[in-house]
Amino acid sequence: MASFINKVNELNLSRRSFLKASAVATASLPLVGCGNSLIKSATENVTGEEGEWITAACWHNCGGRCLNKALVVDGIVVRQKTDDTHMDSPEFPQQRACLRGRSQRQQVFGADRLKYPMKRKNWAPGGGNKELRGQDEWVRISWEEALDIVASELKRNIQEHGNRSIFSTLEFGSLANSEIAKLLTLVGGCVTHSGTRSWGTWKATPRLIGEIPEPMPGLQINDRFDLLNCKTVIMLGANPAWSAISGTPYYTRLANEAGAKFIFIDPFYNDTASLVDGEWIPVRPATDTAFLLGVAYVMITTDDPVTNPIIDWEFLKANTVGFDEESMPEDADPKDNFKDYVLGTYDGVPKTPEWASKICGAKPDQIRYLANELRMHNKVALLTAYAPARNKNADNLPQLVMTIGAMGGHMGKSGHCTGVSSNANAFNGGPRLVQPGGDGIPPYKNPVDDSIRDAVMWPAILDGEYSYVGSLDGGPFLPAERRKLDIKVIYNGGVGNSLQSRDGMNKGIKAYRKVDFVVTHAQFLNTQAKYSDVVLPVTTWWERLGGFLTGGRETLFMYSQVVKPLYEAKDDAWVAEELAKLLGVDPKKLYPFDEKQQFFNKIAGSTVVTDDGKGMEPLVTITNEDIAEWGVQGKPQKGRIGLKELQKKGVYQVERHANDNFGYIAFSDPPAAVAGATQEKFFDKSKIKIYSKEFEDTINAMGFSKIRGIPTYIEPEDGYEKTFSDWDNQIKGEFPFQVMNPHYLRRSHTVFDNIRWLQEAWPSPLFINENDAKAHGISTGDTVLLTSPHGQTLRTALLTQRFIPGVIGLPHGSWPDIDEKTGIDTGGADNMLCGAISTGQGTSGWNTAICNIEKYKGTPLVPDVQRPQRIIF
Amino acid sequence: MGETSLLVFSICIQAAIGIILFAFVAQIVYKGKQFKVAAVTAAVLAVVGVFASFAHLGHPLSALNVLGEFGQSWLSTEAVLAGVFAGVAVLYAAIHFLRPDDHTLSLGLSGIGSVLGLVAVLSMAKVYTTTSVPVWQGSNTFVDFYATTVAIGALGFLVTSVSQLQDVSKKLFGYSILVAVVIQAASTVPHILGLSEMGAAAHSSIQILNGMNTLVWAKWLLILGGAGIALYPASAKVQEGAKLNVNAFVTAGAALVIGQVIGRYLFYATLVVTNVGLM
Amino acid sequence: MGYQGFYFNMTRCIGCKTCQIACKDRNDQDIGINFRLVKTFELGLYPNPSIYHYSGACNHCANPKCVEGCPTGAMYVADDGTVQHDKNKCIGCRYCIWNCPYGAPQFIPELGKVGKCDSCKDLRENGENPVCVDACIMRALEWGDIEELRARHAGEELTSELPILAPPHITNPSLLIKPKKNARLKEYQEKEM
Repeated sequence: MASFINKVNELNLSRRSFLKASAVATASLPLVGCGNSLIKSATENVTGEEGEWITAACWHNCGGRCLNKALVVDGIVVRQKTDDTHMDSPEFPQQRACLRGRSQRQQVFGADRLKYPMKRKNWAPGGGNKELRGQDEWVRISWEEALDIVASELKRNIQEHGNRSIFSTLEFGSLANSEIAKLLTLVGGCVTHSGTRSWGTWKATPRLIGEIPEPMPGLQINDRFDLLNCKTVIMLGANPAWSAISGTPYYTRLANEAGAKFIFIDPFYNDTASLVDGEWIPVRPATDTAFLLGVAYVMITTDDPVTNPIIDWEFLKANTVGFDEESMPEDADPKDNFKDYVLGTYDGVPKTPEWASKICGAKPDQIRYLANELRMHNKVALLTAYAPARNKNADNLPQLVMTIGAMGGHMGKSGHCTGVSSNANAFNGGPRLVQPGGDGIPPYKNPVDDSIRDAVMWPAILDGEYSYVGSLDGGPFLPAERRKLDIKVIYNGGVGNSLQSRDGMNKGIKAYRKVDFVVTHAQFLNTQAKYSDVVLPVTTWWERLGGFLTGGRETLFMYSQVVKPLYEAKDDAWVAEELAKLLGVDPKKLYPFDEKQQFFNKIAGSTVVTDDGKGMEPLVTITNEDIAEWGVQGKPQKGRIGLKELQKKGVYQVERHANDNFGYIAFSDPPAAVAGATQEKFFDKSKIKIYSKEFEDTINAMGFSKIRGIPTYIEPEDGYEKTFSDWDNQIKGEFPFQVMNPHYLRRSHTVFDNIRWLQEAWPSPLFINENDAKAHGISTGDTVLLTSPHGQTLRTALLTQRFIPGVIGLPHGSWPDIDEKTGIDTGGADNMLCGAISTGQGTSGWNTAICNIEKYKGTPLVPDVQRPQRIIF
Repeated sequence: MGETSLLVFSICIQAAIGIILFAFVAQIVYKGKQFKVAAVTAAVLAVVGVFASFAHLGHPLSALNVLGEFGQSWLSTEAVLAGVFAGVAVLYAAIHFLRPDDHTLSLGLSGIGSVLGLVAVLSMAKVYTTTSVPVWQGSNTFVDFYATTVAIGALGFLVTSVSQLQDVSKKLFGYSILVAVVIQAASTVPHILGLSEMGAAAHSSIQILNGMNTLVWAKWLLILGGAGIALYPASAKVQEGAKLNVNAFVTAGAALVIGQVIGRYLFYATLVVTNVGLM
Repeated sequence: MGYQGFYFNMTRCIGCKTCQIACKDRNDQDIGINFRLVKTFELGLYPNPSIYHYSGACNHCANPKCVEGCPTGAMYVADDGTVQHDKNKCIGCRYCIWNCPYGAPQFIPELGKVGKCDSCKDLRENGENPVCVDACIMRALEWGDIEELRARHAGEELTSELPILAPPHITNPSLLIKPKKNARLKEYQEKEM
């Protein structure tokens, strides 16, 4: 490999001949017309297994986590495979990788990898011609020059304008990815941001309504073996087939094969619904609260403890606060209770199925049907993904989901559960059974406390002021404090693509064009790299030392370095260290010990559940020889699996079977397997707050929008009602359609969008209900112009019967490609249509957006796979 | 359309076969006459056809591999027959220069060429009718190929042999052309009707045809018109010393050839294989 | 001689195309060439739509028309009953593409020859499965002796006859599909989701 890289670097090849060289060398060919025969010969030379299979990181934020291996021959990856470390069975399934994981060879060796540091031609200290960001020419520069520019811009701006002029787009919540964030803490800190991201309002609401377990470790739902006991599974805005593909669709299907009936509440008849022959209740985006209030109304009004027991009163009384007048806290107005709100006792608006139907689009009978399914004696799993909470003004939705679940008593017992089923924890709840250790590096603290909510971070930069309300990553939640802000430098120092992936991209681009300096670490010319002044090429995880990845509770993945860094790409950590030197920071302060020692610490600290399921014990057996071989500090230890074996297999998976000691019933089992966890049951110490004054006060003090202490329907910004100019007479307005952004299998958020194989397999069309399309003269294959109050974008139409009328689906994560003359994005980026508007806890409400659709009169789009790749050098 | 080379191949080979066929007939009917220009034209067409078929191959250097499956695969059989026919055609042309007086040899070669050619046309049609392309299946392909062979062959022969045919009746050629194109046209109706019952791929083919309506009309206008134009001078009474209307033959030939080429273009353009389509 | 082929459990397929990409990876395929391809079909009208996916590859037919038509013998039936393709003999005439009613052979412009699913013969000879089978995250694909597969799935509704496919009598495909009910209906539309 080294020789290949050297060869490439020495030759300083022209682009074309470089591509040929890379075709031969990497057998990776996203380019049409480039030597398939060469690829063939490269592959054919790999007869037998003379190469080495190395566990390759699959590091993306895709919602799953799987085993991925790369066959390396002479430093070249010629093929990939997935888990074959043990026989596959439903109880002990292999951790099979999806199409994106299996395309990573195309990604790592893509012809459009950024190869050298580069700067924008018209950049000069102070910004130069700032308007040219995103359309300027690129000039190749040396690493020395690149680091000099970055260091001097940081130094100058910190000196002249203070640390509050530096904006890091990395969340401090995920330190693993934030080498630059670590560095910035050591030079006085920087302004940062936090957001509800994927979680939507599940980010903050659970903490405020009774310390409901965080959904992310999957603690709200039962484990996959217990879910097989359910009779009815209700999926609220959930499509794991597209958004949590690793194990979840398989587990979901197994539950269906075991006899569970599935009901999907969604604007889209999705592929998971088809997989389990689910019933579909079409509901408009951002109206789930209205829908569930209608359900609550039916549950309350049809319940009869003797003849028709729907509500589990005993459960409600024991474990909740605020359902009815009697259960309100003493210091609250009894009239503020949930039941009376639903019945319309005081506001005169009973939340009947008809009332709900007008808003959410579900038929009243469907609402009644669902209410009956939720009856207390039915074994129900009420599972929601985050999508319904990724809406504006949806702060109460998590509270309402828990309320509905509690009303039916669907918590804390076998066959019943209520909560978030998402990501690698989807359909398999419970604490981690195996987990990595820490790297041993002490935590960093940012001396600057400024944290902007994601949804309004671009307006904050543009307007020079914002509301400080604390950080969503660890809190605190504070009342709004208006603060002045003058950002001079934007530093995108690691993974992420926040210019594209945060609300209101159009404003984001303006913000980028306002500041004096933007620097980005990137592997490709993604959106935030494109609009930068200096771009630093960084390694993919295949080119790094190795580490651990976690996903579902039963697995821990240990990946190794697959190839040496390609071209002039460097690790983020290396950049941080080099910058530290230039900024006068002792690199030892940044990393007290090297990467290898950090990795080793994680290995030594890894733990696995004990056989009785009651505690954790060391996972890895480490010998003195291992320590010597690694050249690290450490002590030998006894564990479940040898270090070499773990590295070779690349995965440790806890073997499960029905009725083993590792099952999990949410809200019942203490999360024993989590080291140091309390042995109390959830409800021994907590109640679900159907009414919470603290919740109401905390959110309202943030000042983005108002909520009440009980779940109520709040007309959302850019929601369904806003598609009308006259709601009472049901006359549609300027933006008559709602837009939702399904997670899409071509991409993991914005990553992989540039991979040819995936572009071919998943064309990323605009989904439009057939009748809507015809009414607008749009056919499949037509280019459609989407216009929202916040921007315009183009996409090719696909007519379908699978979307509720009035709602279009614009798949999430497509890279923008903005025509500077018209301002129209030709790339179909979802955040062109979303506004930089925050509500409630500072939510990013991507699924609440409205637009107009029309057949585009300009040049029609070509399929993405025919778009030119972004190859700079 | 990615089948240009096949279009050239099939039209050229069929024209060459037709010309040799009519040369053979003329040699019998008008004893003692030699048709040098026709022979050379046929040879050139045959050779161009064979080269065009190479151009169709992704790997023409290995073309000889087709010898292996002669008699097993229709395509192999067709290729071999076409190749051998081209050889005969070249030989037939050559003897007009090398041994201009050997009429028996000449007759023998045009006879062998005609038989080989007619079998080759059969195999050519078989190549298409045995595929999974519904629009090609059935008798229409046979009719179409033989009609092209006869019509272009006869007209080609007439145009290239005008000087030798000044003094003889050409009715035979005129009526041959007319009969060929009328049968060709007549066979289309049941073919198209039958297609509508042959599933999705056939439907797609019909849709392609519908989208090329103008071309379909142009094809029949040119073919039938060409045949009509040819009929008039061909059936005219042979008058001693009267000047033959060569222009009419050339015009007719051009119309007919263009019509048949359009027809063949449509033939390939409607290629839709019966499958769920990995392509 | 027994025949070998694929079992495809359509009721489990989510149309994710992992099999297609795994196949592309093993065969290093350019855009436009897919020895395995997944397609999505939609039926019905809102609010009662339904869909199904079909993952197709070479069916290693008992009466392979591609073999029958091949002018060079490049396409042949191997000793294990699978249909294989010898690149050295192939002249790139593409006749197999016209003959196969399943679209299995594909022309590879760079090679000037066709290629198709070889059922990962080399891997199988090492005791492995075809890559698509072991890639399937839904465990919807299996490979094996077609009679053994039939026995393993006894009691399931198995077919190789669907409206989207050519009638099986043409080539007698070694293919067992466990169809979704709606895959029997004729009014389907293909959707490039």
